[in-house]
Amino acid sequence: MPSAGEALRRQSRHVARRRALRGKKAVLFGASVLAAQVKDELERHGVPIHAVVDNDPDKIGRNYHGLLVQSPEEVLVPFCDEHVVIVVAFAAAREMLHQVETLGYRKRRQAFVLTPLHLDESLMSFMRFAPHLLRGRLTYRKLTGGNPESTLFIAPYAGTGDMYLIELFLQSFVEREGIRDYSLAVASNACAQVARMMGESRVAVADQQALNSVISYGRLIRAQPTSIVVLNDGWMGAPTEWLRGYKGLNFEKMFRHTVFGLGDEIAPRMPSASATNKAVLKLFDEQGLVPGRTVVLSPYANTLFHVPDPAFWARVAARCAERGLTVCTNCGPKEHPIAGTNAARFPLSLAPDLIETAGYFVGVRSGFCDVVSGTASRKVVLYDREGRFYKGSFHEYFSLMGLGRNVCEVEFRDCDKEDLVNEVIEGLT
Amino acid sequence: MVKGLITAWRGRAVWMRLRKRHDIDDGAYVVAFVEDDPALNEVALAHLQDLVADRRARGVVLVTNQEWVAEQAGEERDGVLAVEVLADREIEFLLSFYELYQFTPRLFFVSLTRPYGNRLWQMKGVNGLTLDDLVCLSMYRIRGWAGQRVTCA
Repeated sequence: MPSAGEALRRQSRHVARRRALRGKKAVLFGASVLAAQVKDELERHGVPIHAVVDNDPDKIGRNYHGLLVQSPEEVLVPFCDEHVVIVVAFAAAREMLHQVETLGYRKRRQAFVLTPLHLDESLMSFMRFAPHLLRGRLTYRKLTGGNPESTLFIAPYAGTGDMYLIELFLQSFVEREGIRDYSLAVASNACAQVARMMGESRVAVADQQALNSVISYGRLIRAQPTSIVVLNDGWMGAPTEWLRGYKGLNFEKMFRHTVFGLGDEIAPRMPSASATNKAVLKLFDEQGLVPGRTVVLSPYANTLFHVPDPAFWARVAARCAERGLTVCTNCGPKEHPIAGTNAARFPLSLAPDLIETAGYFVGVRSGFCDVVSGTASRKVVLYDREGRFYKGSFHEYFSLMGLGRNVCEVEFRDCDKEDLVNEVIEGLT
Repeated sequence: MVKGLITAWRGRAVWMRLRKRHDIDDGAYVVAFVEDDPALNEVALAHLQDLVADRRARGVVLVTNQEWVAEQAGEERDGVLAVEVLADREIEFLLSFYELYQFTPRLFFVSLTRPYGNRLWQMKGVNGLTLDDLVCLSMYRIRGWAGQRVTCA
């Protein structure tokens, strides 16, 4: 089963081929993180986005990937035959479609819905859901080894930052609830690496759809609160989702309170990092990197954010080199190092020790930043200034200041400006 | 599992009846009061207008098994299209169907614990969160909620 992002991209390509869009001005309805993927995909397939509209007053008036977010009425009233509206949403898709239909835009002529969810009250939806539940039951049994006394923790989101945050509090929760036997199911190998790095032994990887089916099964049978525990602050329409970013409820606080119900007095269990890991020192030796005098750049990590361009990173690398620092790029297998730097390819489990050994880190905010946040190294973390996550800015919601040590956080808008490079260099000192 | 599916199926029947009777798809919403919690219910009743304003809705249909709510809501509140008093088991059916999957964005439950898995009760008081915040932001999903009444119409 495709992920939500993949499903939307596929639907985008399908819509881009529709004759109804030819020669029309496409209006994107929904200025969400996922809708940005739709925008990219449509533009790649010859459908430029003319305007972006959203009902959320927090988003209206803000920049969204180069376009100003406007209210639907501002753009779509009076009815204009030149417009086609592309609605991108999860649960609210039908509601939004109804809204544009009341403005005169007809479905499949001037309005198209892209959504990863196609469930409604119809008989078809109900029948389609039944096999999903059966799969959930089977997967649940498999993950718990058939032991009904065992607690199954499910981390359904594949982000490593979520996994790190979960692990900071999971043991406190296990102790408080008196849980004796449990297993942890995660949605990606990267998450499994993070969990194991933090000391988990019973970790299983399953695809997100399988995990969702277990959650649905748990809901159907109204499982005991400690038999299936969903480790997310707003999964599958949980109402707590909408509190994100409101009244200072950041990433850490949402997990602490919503997922685990732990008070502010409970300290997170931070992992330790070592600057004497032999595997890391060997890598440094091979790459000609100097322990304590190396900057690790992390420009490619999977992230929700708009990412600065390679020229910016090359400039940062050059400025670091001028200061006598060696520079490397945290690269995946298919990624290229930033110009003037070496590629550092290492398993995620080595990341804290590697950054601790390096001494310096510059990266765009991603789960990788969470994983290395507890190290003593000087870290500069970049946030897209325009980005919103529910009720807060990206920085407000994902700030590492509550958990990270020695962190300088920088919000950016235009990544090609020299003053941003200066800010980063200043942040390293 | 089969029992759960049957209960959800009955919940679907309850929903289909409400949907048809009140023409819900035509800009109306259903708010289900399912808790015997006067403080919460009072706050939720007080913010119905905000929900209507935020959604530019035709109005809301209240569904409840709580007599007090039915009495309060019956006092000609603006934006309330109808009040339906359901039996406890019908409310349970409806909850079961919603727990199975979220089949509509036009149904809201006034509760800190339900549908199954709702952890809003853990958030009361955290960072100064009030019942108004929990009702407006989480239960009604009022997008412009910033701690005060919604004025857009």
